[in-house]
Amino acid sequence: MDLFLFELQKLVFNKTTCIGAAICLLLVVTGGIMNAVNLKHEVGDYTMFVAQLQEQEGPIDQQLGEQAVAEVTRLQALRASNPQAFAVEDPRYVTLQYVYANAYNMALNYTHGSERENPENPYSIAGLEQYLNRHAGHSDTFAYRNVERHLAMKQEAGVPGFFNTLVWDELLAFLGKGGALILALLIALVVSPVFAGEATSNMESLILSSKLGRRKIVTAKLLSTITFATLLVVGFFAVCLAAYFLPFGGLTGLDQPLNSIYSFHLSPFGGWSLLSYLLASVGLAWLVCVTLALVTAFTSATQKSPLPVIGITIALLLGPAFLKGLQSVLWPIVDFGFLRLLEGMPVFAYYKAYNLLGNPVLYPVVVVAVVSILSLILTCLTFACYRRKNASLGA
Amino acid sequence: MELVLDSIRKVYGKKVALHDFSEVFTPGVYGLLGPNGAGKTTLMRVIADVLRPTGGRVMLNGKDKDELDEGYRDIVGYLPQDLGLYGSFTGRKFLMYVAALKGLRRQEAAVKVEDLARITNLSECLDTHCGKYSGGMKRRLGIAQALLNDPRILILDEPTAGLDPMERIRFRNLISQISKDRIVLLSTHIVSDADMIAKQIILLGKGRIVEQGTVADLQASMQGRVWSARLPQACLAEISERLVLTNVAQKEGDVEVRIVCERKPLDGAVPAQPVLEDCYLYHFKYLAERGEW
Repeated sequence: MDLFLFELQKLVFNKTTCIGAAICLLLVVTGGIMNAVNLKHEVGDYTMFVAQLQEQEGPIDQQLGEQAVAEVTRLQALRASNPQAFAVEDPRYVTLQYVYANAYNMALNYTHGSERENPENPYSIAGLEQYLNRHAGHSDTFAYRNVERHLAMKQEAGVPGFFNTLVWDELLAFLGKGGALILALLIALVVSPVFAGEATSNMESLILSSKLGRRKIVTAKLLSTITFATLLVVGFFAVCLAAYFLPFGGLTGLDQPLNSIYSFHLSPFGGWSLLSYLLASVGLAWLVCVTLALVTAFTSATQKSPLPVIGITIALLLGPAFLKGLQSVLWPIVDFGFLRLLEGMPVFAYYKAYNLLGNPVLYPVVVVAVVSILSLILTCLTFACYRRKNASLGA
Repeated sequence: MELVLDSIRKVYGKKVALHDFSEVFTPGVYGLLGPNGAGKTTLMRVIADVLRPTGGRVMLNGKDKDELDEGYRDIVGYLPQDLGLYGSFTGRKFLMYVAALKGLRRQEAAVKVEDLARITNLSECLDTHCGKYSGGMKRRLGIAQALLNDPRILILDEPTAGLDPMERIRFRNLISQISKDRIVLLSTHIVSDADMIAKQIILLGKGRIVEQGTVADLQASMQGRVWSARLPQACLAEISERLVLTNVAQKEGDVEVRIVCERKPLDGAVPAQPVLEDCYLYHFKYLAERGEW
């Protein structure tokens, strides 16, 4: 226990962590403030806007939806032909029309799909039903079962409705892009010296010569790494929620359905509340961050300086993004790339399942299994690596 | 207690750092002397279980070190040559951390830390951040951490480097006091440190034992090989190129030199009483220059 606490202190209370955390905090708070400023600029009195919007919240009204689409078309034409006339339009009215038209289109896309929908790879309710009708004679194939499951999940999710998701849209977009990268880089930066730093600071000899220096120190270091990753993920999400929602008076919309967010309107988990999604994405981020921290720790145990560790971790993070073109061949690398998983959205926004003995196994389930197994393997490898370790010969 | 090194060999790539080193250590201080690259640090790291030897065995009381594992490391105290400290830790925290590494209970460690801080003269700066420590303070903290677990085998690699004369004497006396019932391996470039307290001196060169024995043995082996002569100043440059001088002192316009040589090197040279330093220079300069080892 003592060793664990010391290792945790070494990890948390050092210059790199403090500077990294400060930069991270600055970026998140700036993002939250910018979002608030932009939104208030768009709609003026936000409280009044929310009151107007709440009147229409709930299932999509087709008539209102068609009107909103028509209004948006008119407004877009006006903006293009006469910007001065467009400028005098009530900004709250304009925004409301845009968001309602958007929600209406989401509902249409969910139900009927679009012209671009591939009949052999459908996503809409109609497209999925048609696929099943066309392939009724192949009900024992994986493809059929997969679509069947897809349809069942989507029907369970229900038609996307209209809700105030303006702040959530921005927050989830941030978490899915910059946020994931910030988290991953902070882990790479902080965890990289966990073992390699001992060689750099000439403490490795002393550690290896001590009674507990080959076994319990590894346990202590790995536990502190996992604890750090946990604190980081929880802290990061808490700060993000605070930064994005405090300017609007507090956290709202937790009970709204996930598919009311544009990015998730086709999600098989669309029926989840935003709170459920938030918990799931925190859980996934935690698992991925812990695994990433363990990858970094293992790499650190094989190196004598933290710099190559940071390099290798960054390559592991960004590499899969460059391999997207080769997804058909390198799909395990692309599908299970740390950054993609940390983004959360690619895991939950669309239906994706793997063929396991002819049965469709959902992407998030496979992700959890793969990442957990990888964590276990990395833990064992780190123990084995450190147990066989020789100190670097400084003289 | 008996620590046996049986044909220890360590190879780095093509370089052999230790050639089948064998030795039996019993309680007392062993001074390990040798030039840079002689294999002293490698040997100490092998004994400290920091480095796995390429061949050979380390046995404690008849049991293999690897078999004893934690039990072996439990009785080892090691001060590496270039010990680093965590700048953000205070001296006390650093010692408590090392105590945790050594498996000491917190309360026991706290008492031990106070005790060792007093012995190593660090009591007043125990709560100062290690980053602010001077070289000598860092070395004293290193010595304190090596003693935390009351080790039966104490391995000290250049322990007095950076210490001022007072601290060196204090440290030497401390080692002498505690060496009664434990094995102390002391590697140093400061020959006088080993000279004063070592029961046995091992001269190590190119990974092999060049010579070993008590200080008296080594001094005796140098009888007839150390000379003293008084020369005019002008001759000094020529003499120092040709002979191995262990000391040069100005004497009323002339110079008095101390020479290590197998036979009388100059007319007027008279035999001098050998000291350990002469033995060191005889092996690592005189014989080495002649390619005799």
